[in-house]
Amino acid sequence: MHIINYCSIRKGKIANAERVLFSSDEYQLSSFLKSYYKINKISYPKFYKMDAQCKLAFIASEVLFTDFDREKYKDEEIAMVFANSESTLSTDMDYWESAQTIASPALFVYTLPNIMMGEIAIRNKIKGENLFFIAEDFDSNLLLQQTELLFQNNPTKIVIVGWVNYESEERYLARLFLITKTGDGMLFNKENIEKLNKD
Amino acid sequence: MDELIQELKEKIIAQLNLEDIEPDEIDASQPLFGDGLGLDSIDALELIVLMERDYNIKITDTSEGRNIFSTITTMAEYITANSNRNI
Repeated sequence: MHIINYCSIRKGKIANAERVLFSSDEYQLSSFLKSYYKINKISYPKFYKMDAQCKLAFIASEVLFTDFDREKYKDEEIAMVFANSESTLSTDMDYWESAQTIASPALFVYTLPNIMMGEIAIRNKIKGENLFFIAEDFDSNLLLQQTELLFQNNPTKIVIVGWVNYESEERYLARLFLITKTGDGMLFNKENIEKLNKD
Repeated sequence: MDELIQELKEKIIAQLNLEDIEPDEIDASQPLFGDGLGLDSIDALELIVLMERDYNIKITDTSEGRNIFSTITTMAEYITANSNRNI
């Protein structure tokens, strides 16, 4: 398995591979991502309706797909495996608060963490398998094993692997990898994942 | 009625996070769903919540909802005819 692209969003910084695309002293995630969205003239009004964690995953996927030849793959050939440690705790709490009066349907839809993959799938017309795991910490073995499993199933040809975790407006991390089964590029193995996870 | 229409435009923008849209850009007679503002099924539920929370109007009949939420004008007309609140 090979890494054809990777990106990260953390501490007010958006990076694609080793290149920093956007950085700000403003660590507050919502305003930081909104600035990136506007500066890059992304046109997807649904972005504003997403909760913070989905916005984080969405912008990371936009970065990951920079220069990606989406047309090369059928909708069913792109799969996803994501994980995090917080599930949707922040939005769960917002939803619980709204439910004290009239529960908000718009918040409710973001109380399942796999909605992140749903948003990315809708945006990019992805219809492949998708898996979401909740783990205590970033677990490279888990992501590796699940990616391998996805490649064993036809028709998967490419997998988006991600750790997207939102704790608060100051503490957040998105790390996405675009993986192919064969080809060129850095090997998708434990050593490289952990090395990139430190960047 | 004009005041209520303006209020609804502002509330809908806030409630549905339509951040790129200004109240003046919304035509009160344009469809809220489909080709108009392009709202979806979750937005429809949020509009039901808005009606109940802000105007004390409960909408339980979905076929009735289709007509009420056709445009901002139809919403305003329904509120004027049914609200328990002084507007």
